[in-house]
Amino acid sequence: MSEPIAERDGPGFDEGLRAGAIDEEAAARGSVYALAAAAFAEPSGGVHERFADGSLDEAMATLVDRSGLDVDPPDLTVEDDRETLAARYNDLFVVGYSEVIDGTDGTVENQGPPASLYESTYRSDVSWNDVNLDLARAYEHFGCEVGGDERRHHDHARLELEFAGYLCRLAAAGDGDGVADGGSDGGSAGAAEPSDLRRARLDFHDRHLSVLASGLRTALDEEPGTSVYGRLARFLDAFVAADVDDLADRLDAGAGGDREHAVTDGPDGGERS
Amino acid sequence: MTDTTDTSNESTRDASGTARRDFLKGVGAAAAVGATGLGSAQDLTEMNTLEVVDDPIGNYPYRDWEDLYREEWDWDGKARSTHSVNCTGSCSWQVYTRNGQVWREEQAGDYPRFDESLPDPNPRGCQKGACFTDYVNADQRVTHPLRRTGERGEGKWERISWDEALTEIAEEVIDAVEDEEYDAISGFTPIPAMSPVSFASGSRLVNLLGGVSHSFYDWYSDLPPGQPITWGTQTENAESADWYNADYIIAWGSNINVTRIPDAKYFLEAGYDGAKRVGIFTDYSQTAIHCDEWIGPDPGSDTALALGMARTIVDEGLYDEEHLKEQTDMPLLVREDTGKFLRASEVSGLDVDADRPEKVFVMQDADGGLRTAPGSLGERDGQHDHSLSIELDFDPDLDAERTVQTTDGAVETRTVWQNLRDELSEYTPEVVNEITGVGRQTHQKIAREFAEVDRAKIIHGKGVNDWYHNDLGNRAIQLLVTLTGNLGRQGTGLDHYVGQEKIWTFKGWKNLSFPTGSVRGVPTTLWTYYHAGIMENTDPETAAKIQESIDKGWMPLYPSERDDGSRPDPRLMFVWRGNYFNQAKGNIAVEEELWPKLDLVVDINFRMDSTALNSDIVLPTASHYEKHDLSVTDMHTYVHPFTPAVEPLGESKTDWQIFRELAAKIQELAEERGVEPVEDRKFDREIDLQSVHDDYTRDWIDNEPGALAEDKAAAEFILENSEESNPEGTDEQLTFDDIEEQPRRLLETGDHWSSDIEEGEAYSPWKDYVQDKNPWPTFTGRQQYYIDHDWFLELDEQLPTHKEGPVLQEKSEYPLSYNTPHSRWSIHSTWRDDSKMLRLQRGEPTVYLNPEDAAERGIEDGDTVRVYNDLDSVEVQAKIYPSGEPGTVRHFFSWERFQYPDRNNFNSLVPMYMKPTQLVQYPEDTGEHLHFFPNYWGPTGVNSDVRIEVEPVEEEAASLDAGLLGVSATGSESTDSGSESTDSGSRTRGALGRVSDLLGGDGS
Repeated sequence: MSEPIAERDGPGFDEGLRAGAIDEEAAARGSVYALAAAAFAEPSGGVHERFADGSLDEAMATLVDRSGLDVDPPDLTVEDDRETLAARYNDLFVVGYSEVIDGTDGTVENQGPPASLYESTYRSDVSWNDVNLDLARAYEHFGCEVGGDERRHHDHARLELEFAGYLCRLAAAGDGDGVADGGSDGGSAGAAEPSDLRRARLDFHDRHLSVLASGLRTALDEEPGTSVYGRLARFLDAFVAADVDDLADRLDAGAGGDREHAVTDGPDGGERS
Repeated sequence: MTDTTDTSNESTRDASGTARRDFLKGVGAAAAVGATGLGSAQDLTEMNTLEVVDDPIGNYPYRDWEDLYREEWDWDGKARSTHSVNCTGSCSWQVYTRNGQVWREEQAGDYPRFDESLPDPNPRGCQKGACFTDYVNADQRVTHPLRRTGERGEGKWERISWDEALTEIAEEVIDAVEDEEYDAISGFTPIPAMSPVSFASGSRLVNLLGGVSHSFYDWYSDLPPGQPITWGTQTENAESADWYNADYIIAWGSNINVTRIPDAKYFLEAGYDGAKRVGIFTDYSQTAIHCDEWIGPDPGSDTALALGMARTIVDEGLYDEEHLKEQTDMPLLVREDTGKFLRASEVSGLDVDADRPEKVFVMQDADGGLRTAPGSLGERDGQHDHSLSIELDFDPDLDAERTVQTTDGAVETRTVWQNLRDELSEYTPEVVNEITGVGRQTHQKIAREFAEVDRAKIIHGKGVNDWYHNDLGNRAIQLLVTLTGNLGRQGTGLDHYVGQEKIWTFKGWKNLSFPTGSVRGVPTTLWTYYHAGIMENTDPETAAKIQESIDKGWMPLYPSERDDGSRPDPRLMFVWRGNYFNQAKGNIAVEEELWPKLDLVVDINFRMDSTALNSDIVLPTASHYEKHDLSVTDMHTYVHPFTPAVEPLGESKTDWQIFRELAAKIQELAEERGVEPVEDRKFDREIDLQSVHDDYTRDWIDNEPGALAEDKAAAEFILENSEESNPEGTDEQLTFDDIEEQPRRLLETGDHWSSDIEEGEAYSPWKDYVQDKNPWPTFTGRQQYYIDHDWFLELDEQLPTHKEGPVLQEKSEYPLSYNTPHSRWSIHSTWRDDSKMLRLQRGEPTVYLNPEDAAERGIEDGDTVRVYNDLDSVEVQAKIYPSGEPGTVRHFFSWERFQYPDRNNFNSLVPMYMKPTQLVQYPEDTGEHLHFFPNYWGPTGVNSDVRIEVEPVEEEAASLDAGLLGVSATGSESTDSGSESTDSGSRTRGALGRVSDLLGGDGS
C-alpha cells in the first residue's frame, strides 16, 4: 500500500485554483469520504500517527462541520500503540476464516473476517461478480480504474470511499460560480451537469456505498473491541445516510424505497434510507 | 479503456487546470474547503487505491445508471488454468476475466482423444473447481505479508513489507546455517504433480541451504506399503480410462464417486459396457450404490477377506500357474530352520554366475534339480537392471519340498507357494465369515468370478490403507491380481489412487527441486513422532525398534545426531501448499511439543488456514489463477498448464517469486555479513549463502546464469528436461505454449515407469516386467510375497496374514470405531471453508452415526455431540447415516481447527503410531529393495485403529450455541447497537474468541 503523499511539487491549491471556484460543501463531503478511506487502511506508521496525534480526528470534525450535513463527527482518537491498532485492524478486517454460527440449522457463516471491508459480503441479493462488475463500470465511466501495482477488488471500502470522494469533488469543481452543488444547475464547460453528478452520487450511494456503510456498521456493532473502527463505521453510516437524504431532497428523488436504485434489502434485512 | 477526455475546450482551461486536476484527485482537497488547522491529516485525502486515468476535467455525462450499460459487456480475456495443490483430478479449465478480475471458470473440455473406443475424456472437473473463483476473490485472501505480534496462534497480526518479512526470515536462515544447523531447516510441501514449479520453489531453496525436505505420501498414509514390499515400486497405476477396458472391477475401499469425480464416468461407463462392478466398503457408500454387488466386511478385516478369496482361487485351481512361476517368488525355496530364503551361496555345488551369490535365490526344476532364480538381486547391477531377464528356461516346481545340502549341513526347505498355501488354509469360509462378517458363499463367488474373467482390476483406496496393518492388507489384496495373472495388460492391475505418488515429468521436476542432487529427505511420520516427543510414550518394544532403525541408518532423522551424541531441535519450518499443522495426526503432541521447538514458522498461503494462523510470518501467495505452472496426474496421461488469468491479488506473489526473492535477500545479507561457505557434514558440497540466489536462478543443467528467474521458465525447464515431454532421440517436444493451446498427451515414459505410453491405448503399468520379462525391482527380482527380513520373521509377517490391530483404546471404554474418510465437498482442507461447498452439506464439522448407535445414546439428527477418547474430545454435529454400519463413527476429513469450538479437530482424537515393519531396510545390509526414499518407502501415518465414544451435549452447555454471533454463553450482551462494545471478554464471536475480545476497547 502506498503511503499518503505529504508533500507534492507544483502549485498548491490556493496558488492554482481561484477562490470560490469550488462548492465547499461538496468538497468537504469529498474530503470526509477521502479521510474515511484512509482511516480504513491498515494502520501503517503514518496513519497511526495521525490517529494518535489527533490530527485525523480534528480534520474530520472540521470537514464534517463544513459538509452541510447534520451529523456528529466521530471520535477518531486512539490510545492503542501501532502494533495493537494493527492487531485490531487485522483481526476485524483482514484475517478471515469460516466459523460455525449455528450448529443445528445449517447456518453457514461467511469465510471472511468478522467485518468485511468488501461490499459484496453484504449483498445477499446479488453475486460478487455483479457487484464488482457494476463498480467497474462506474469507475470506468468516470475515468477511473483500480490503480497502483496491486490488483484489488473493486468493492473494497477504500475504493468505494475514494470514488465517492472523487464524485463529490467532480461536483464541487464542476461550476465556475461555485454553485455546482448548491442549487444552481449552471455547469462549467466540459464537465458533467451538477444535477447529473448529484444523480450519480445518489445512485452510487444507493447501489453501493450505502449498502457497504450500513453493512460495515452492523458487522462492527456485533463485534467486541472495535475501538476507533466501530466509531468510524457508525459515523460513516450516518454520514452516508445524511448525504443520501440531502441529495435525494435536492433531486426530489423521493424516499429510499421509491428510488429506482436504492437497495432496500440490506444486510440486516431492513429498509434503509 | 475508452478515453473520455474532451479536448475541444482545451483553450478554455486556464492555469488552474493543474490544481483542479490535483484537487479532483484529492490532493489538498481538505484545504480546499477553506478550513485551517487541519494538521497533517489533510494529506490523507489523496486517492491511493483508485486512480484517475482519464482527464478528471473531462466530460462525464450522466443521466442514470443505465448510461453505464451502453456498451455490450463481454469477457475481455480468458486463460487456461487448473486447480492444485492436492487434488489429483488435474482438470483443465478456462478462466474468464474482465477488468483484471476473475469472473468465472469453465471446464476447458478440449483434451485430445487417443482412443476412440474409450469414452471421451472430456470434460473433466468437479464442483470444487467450479467455484475456485470464490477463493481468488475471497475476503480472506492473504494479500500482504503478515507477522504475528502476539503469541503463536493468538491471532494478533501486523502487516509488514516484503522487505521486512524477507529480511527477518533471511536472518534466521543465515543464523541457522552459520550455527551449522542447516539440517534444522525444514520444508514441508506435498504432492508435486499438480503444481511442480510451486513445489520446487521452496524445495529448491531448502536444498541449496542444506535443509530438510519432508515426505508427504507416507505421512498422509497414502503410500500403500505393500507395493514397495511386493513390487519394489512406490505405487503405479493405470490411468482411469483403462477402467473401461476391464471385464470385472472391484472398488475396494475406493469411494470413486466421491473422491474421483472427474474419473467416475469411466467406472459407470465400464458397467454400461458389460463389466461387472463390485464394491467392497464397510458402509453402503456413494460408490457402492452404483455397483452390481456390495460386500460389506467389518472394519479392519479386509486382509482376512482377501486371503479367504485367495484360498478359494488356490484351492479351486483358478490361479495362473505360468504367471506365478515366472513372475513371482512362489517357486523359491525357503529354509525351514531359519525362515530365510535359501541362497545360492549356501548350496553346495550349485553353479552360480553372479557377483553376489548370497543374494541369489534357488528353485527346484521339474526334474528335481536345484536352479538359481534368474534376475535375483545378486545377479543384477542394483535395484533396476533391465539387462537381465526373469524368463525361465526350465519349469520350476511350485510344490517343491526337499532337503538341501548346504554349508550348514542338511536343511529342510519348502517353496514360498507351499508356505503360502499353509497360510491360506487358515482362511476357511467359516473363519472368513467370523472375522469379516461376509457370507461364506459370497466371498467365494466373488473370488471365482474375479479369477475367471479375462481382465480383472481392483481399484484400491484409502478405506483399506489407513490401518496399522495396512502393509498386510495391501499384500493380501495384491495377491488376488497376482494369483490370477491380472497384471501388465490393459484392463487389469491394482490401481491405488490415494494422493499422488508420482509426477510424470519426473526428471525435470527433480532437477528443478533438488539442483544439488544431494537431498536431505526425511520421513515426516518419523520426524514428527520423534520431535513431538511421542517416543517417550511408546511401548518399549516399538520404541526399541524405532531407535534401532534410526541407529542403523535405515530411516534418516534430522537434525542428525552430532558427534557428541546430542541432536538439536528443528528450528525453522517453511510450509507452503500444505496445511501441516491441521492435518498432523497426533496433533496435540505437535502443538504442545513440536511447535514450541521451532524458532520460526513461515507459512506461504493465499488464505489463513490453520497452519497460517499458527505461524510466525505469513507470506501471501498467488492463487491458482495467478501463476504459471504445470499439472499432471496419474489419473490421466496429459499435461496442461496454469497460466495467470489475472495478476496476483494485493501484494501476493507466486511461490517461485517468493522463494527466489528470499534467496536474493539471503545472498544480500550473507554478502553484507561476510558469511563464509559451510561444509555440509553429510554431502560433498559447500553451503554457500553468498551465491544462493545465483544458484537458485541458474539452470544447473545448461549452466546458464539467471535462466530460471521466472515461473514460466521454471515450467519450461521441467518440460525440456523430462523424457515424458522431450523424449531423447526424437524431434517431438512439448512446450509450454503447446500445452497452453490445448492439453497434450505425454509422449513417452521415462525409466521410472513400468510401461510405455502407447498411441491408441490407455496407460497400464507393469508391462516391463510382465511382457518384457525384466526383473522386478525386488530382492528376488520377482513379485515378492515372502519377506525374510528378521523383523518380518520375528513378527510372523513373512507372508500376508490377518492380524488384529493394536489396542489404542479399550473397546469396553470406547466402543465405537472412528475413521476419517475423504469428503466429496473438499480436497482435504481446501474448500472446507467455502460457502458454496458448506451449503451443500451441514456447513460445519459433522460425525456420521449409525441410527442404532445414535438411538442407544439418545442422539438425534442435528444434535450437538461430544466425540471423545483418552486423547481429547471435539464437539460436532451428529448426522444420522443409515448407510453406515453399527459401531463405526465417520468424521469426514479435514475440517480446519478454527471450525471447531475448541480449536481441536478430527485429528485430535488420533494418536501417532508407527509399525516397525515399515522402518526397515531390505536387504538389511544394502537395501536395494526397501530403503528410505521420500514418498517411496517409509512409515505411514495411519489412523483407523482409533476408538471413541459419543455422547449428546446438553443444549445449554454446547459451545456451539455460543456461536450465535456476538453472544457468549456466559457474557452479557450489549443491546445497544450504537454503543461501544468495549467490555473485554464480555462477548465472543462465533465459536472462536477473536483478538478483539482480548484487546477490548482502547479506553478512549
